[in-house]
Amino acid sequence: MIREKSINAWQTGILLFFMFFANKILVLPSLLFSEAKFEGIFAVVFLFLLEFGLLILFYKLKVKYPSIKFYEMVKNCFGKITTKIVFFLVAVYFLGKIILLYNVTYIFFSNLIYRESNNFLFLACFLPVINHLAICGIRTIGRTAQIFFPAVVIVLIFSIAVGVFGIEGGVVVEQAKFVNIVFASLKHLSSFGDVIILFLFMDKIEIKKGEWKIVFSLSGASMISVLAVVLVFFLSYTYTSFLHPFAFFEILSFVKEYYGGLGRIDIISMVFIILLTYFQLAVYLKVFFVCFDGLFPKLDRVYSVLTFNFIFILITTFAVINLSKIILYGESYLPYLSLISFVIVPLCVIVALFGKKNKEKKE
Amino acid sequence: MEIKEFIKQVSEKLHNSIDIASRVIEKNGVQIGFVYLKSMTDNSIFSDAIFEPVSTFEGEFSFGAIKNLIQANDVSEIKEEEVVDKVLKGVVVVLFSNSEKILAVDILNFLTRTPSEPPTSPVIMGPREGFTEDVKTNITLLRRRFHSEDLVFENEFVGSSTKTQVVLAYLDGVADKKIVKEIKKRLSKIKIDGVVDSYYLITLLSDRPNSIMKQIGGSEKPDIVAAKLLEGRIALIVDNSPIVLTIPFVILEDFQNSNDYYTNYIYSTFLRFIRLLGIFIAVTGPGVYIALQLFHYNVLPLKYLITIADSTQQIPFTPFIEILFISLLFQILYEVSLRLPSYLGLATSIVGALILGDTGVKAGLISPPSVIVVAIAKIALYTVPEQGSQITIFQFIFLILGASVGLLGVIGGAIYVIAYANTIENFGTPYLAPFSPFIFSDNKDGLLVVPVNDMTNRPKSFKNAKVERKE
Amino acid sequence: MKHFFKKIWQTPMFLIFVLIGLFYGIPSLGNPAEINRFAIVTAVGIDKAEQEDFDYEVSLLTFVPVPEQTFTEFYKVISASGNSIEEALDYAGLYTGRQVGLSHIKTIVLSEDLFDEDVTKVLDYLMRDKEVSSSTKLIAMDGKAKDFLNAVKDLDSQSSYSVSEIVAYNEHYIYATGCSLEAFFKGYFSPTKASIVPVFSLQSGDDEGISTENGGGGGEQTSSGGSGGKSGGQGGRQIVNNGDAIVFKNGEKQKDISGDDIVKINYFRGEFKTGGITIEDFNGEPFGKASLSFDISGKKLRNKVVFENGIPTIYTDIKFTVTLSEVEQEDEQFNKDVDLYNVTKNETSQIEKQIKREMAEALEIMREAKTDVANFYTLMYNTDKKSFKRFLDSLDDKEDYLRYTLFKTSVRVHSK
Repeated sequence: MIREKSINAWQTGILLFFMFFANKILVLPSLLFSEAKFEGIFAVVFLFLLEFGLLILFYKLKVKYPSIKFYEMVKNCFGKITTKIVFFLVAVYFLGKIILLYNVTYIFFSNLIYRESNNFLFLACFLPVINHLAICGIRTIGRTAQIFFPAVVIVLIFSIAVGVFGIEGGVVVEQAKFVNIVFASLKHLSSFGDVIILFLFMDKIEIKKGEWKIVFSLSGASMISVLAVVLVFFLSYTYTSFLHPFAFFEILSFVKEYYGGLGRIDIISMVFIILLTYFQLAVYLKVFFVCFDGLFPKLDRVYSVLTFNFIFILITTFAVINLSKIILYGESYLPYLSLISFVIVPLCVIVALFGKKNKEKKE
Repeated sequence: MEIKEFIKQVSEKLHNSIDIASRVIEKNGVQIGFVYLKSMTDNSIFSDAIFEPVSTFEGEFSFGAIKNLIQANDVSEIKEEEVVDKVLKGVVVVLFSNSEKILAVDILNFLTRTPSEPPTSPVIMGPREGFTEDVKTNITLLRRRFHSEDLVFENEFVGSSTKTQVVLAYLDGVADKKIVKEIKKRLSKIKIDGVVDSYYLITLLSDRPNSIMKQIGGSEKPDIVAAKLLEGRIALIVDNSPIVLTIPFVILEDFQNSNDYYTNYIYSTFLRFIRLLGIFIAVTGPGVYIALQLFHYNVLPLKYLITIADSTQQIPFTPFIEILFISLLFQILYEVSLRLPSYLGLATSIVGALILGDTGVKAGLISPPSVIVVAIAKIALYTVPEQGSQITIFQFIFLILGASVGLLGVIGGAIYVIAYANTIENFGTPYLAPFSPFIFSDNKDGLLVVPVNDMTNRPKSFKNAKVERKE
Repeated sequence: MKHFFKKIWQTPMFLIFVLIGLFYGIPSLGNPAEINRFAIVTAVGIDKAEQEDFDYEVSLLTFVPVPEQTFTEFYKVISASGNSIEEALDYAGLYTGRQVGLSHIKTIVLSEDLFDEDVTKVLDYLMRDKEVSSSTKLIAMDGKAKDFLNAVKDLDSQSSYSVSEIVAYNEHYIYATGCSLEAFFKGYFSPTKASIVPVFSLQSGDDEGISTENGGGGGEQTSSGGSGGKSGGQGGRQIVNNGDAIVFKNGEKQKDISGDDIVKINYFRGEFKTGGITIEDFNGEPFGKASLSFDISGKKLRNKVVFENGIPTIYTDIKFTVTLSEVEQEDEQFNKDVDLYNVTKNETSQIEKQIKREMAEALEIMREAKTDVANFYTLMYNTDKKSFKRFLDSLDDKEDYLRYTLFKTSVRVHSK
């Protein structure tokens, strides 16, 4: 059996780098534009700041307790039942995120990559790979991500650089109301907050003292590139941004005329999105497995795998896959659940950081 | 000792094989017997150095006198129960009727190849010797490169029938003792009747023997093995095999070529990228092509699409069958050209070129783009010939994936394969090191090649007793 | 063997891959290539339907694969009518026996008869379809779009000139203007609501081909004839591209602009376009009476807005770099190499005068049509939001803001 081993600073940073993209570069920019116009970008900035706060929280926690398990930590502070509830909520939230991400990319794929949608075909592609990655553990995910990282960075830089050609000067920037921005950011809360995956794997992350800057700079670079993608998208499509749902793809699609000889260079962005989706789904799934283990520590891993696949196949087969419905679901239910990542988990951590001192003294 | 009786016993133990030779000389009532295998000993040395001095000796036959008389450098005393074993190893056994002591004279000689340039790894500029099937020659080839007391050779024997000699070679103080110990442990645990070639050991020593991934390195050139020893690896020289194994193994080693170190380092870096590109094209080329044809025609440039559309119009097969057919045809031709003697090989290549390149296309059975794609992929495969067998399998897997589920499957498959390779840790060494986990200092000889004077450290991908290269 | 199966059972993911191979791999042995299931369309023409039952007629310039090794491009025009664009495309699929593949569309041709209503209704489907790239070129047709496609069919088939290239070339040339699907909608959704679309027309002539006539100030004439062979029923028509354009506002046709006027308007537009300028009645040393042509090899445009008493004034500062390219003297032949000729003050001042005059004319055209093709709106808005809003509020007709905006242009010309 494969032993679960730890990941180092680079791998942690690269995983964060991948996670920050999630569906933020696909459907989010277009939705933000329709809600808050150009100022939608401030919603992204605002939510990223929150995420960075979470990352700093993680840093504090990791420095204080280098090798404790998240489950143990919450249990020590709140008792067993509360811990199980938290883990249950996280499991449900991440299952929801998997379904949201899967469906968004499903619609992208069936629209642009395959012209016929066939759910089972996509399941046959995704399930074996993400299950394999998640079963092999976070170290395998981290190392595999490390292999693809240079390619991802090159594609990203290329896309942004090429996207700049499409930018048109002279855009009327209307002053959207502050309320609009806040509402937009609340609506898309569930697209953010991926830093909490770090808390769940915290016992498997080994970062030496001087290496924290790698994690911070990689996640910072990731945030900046997401912002750059959103900005380039907004500036190159300006008033018609809402007509183009798949932001990252459209950046390359619009400038393809410069590269007529190469045909549609947007295939690069397709490959990029496929790659990222695989990794994001795998990490979410790993989080689900970790939560499942926390909920039922005595059960074999096979049960968590079976449970996930059963639920996932059931939902994706019988639930209607429809972009508007999925987005509606993502906007109306998931934000409440995403309080987990922005409130509940940080709260647990803060309590553990400052409250646990007393407990230790008692012991 | 009753010599004739004893000789009879020995030859009965050896089932009276036809190559057993024995000779008895008698003088003053003292008998001296010689037993050996004609097939394994040097006849002229036997008569010049052993038989002639003894038969012309005028003094009294005694153990001490004869021992001094024999003009060979490897003369030792053995016990009675070792006789059969020694005879089998090509030693002349000398028996005395007036003494219980037995002499063994090693004048082993059989036909071996002289070290020549191995066909698997030719170099443009660099040493041209290769290992041979003889373990002694191989040891010599290595020893000649190290005038150091640190180079250690240790003997192990594997196989109940063959008792094949396996020599462990490593640099003391450089190689990790734990790995040496682990290798010895694994060798001693091997239960098999015979090891015919070193390739047997690859499976027997691997952590995951059922895996498709090659987990132990092998080389036919002493300079490569010497370089690996210097890096702290351990070499296994197997008798009767010209391939010397090296442990631990990372996949990067197959991307390295001895030529890289004998040319300009910038050019070597360029070549490493070409090899990576070659592997990439070889593995995914046909899969991506078929995926584009079956699922994603819309991403092809118009002009290319027109070329494909025009040239595939008359093809009676569906694209998948067509490309599968060409791939298999190529594989058959490859197999045939490998097996056939070289004068017939030329004939097959003419037939292959004609069938594939010309007639097939002209007859409208196969389309030129498919032939080009398959040909490029099959040629690109040999940028890294050491991985040829694995890549061929992966090529077919990715072809099937591309044809079944399209680009999504090809990328998923790539992630799956890399994740799988990442789970392999043979002798505690990550298989894809130094790329994942990324080890900065090892990347000086990774995809990039730096000048030799900058390679100051031994690889950190696996355990080493000493990391610094400079004393 | 038992051991082997046990091993395989322990790696369930391997089993799943085998299952994928079985479920999807084996059926895919029989799958035809997508190229054989889709009709590859390179240009779409949209007309008003002739039959009363339908609204639109869609014509598709479709590539027809021909099994031969010369890789000739062979095209066919397929037309179908429907109440909506999608319906018409579906019917077109029925005629070809293949699905219509829109992913390689390079040109969309709009027929003249669509212009009396909102064109965005027609384009909406194509814009929202994910397969059609938003950079697809959009052109308007002085006549029927179907005729245009029929005329270009043989051109695309038999020569390496293709219509998409001609249309794309418009964007780089001062005598014309280009428009893409995206640019059209960008204009439509922008505050100015204006987009400008180039117009092509057909002319009956002896041979098929393209001709560009009366290219504005340059007065150059190019004619590239395709081979006339397969003209058949088309009766030899020529595609004419003389730089004309139509301005759409709110999706409806606002004004025709001639090729001459496009050149003038192009001075105001930011992107540099290659071209030239001709001074017909030059009189001075060393040419005497002559007509001089100059190449414009660089243009720098700077706009500045100042609000004075609530009224915006736009200071436009344009710098041109020119070189002499052609001299037509009345009396004698110019005896120097034009490349070595240093343009004098006299000549530059004449060019400046002419450009200034043409820019004033361009402004008048824009004011008359109430269309802000050069996007002064954004410029003024971004300079001073409040003042501009106040200025707009003070107007009776908010769309007519250009008429009340003051322009001060300074043109500077220097030789290379």
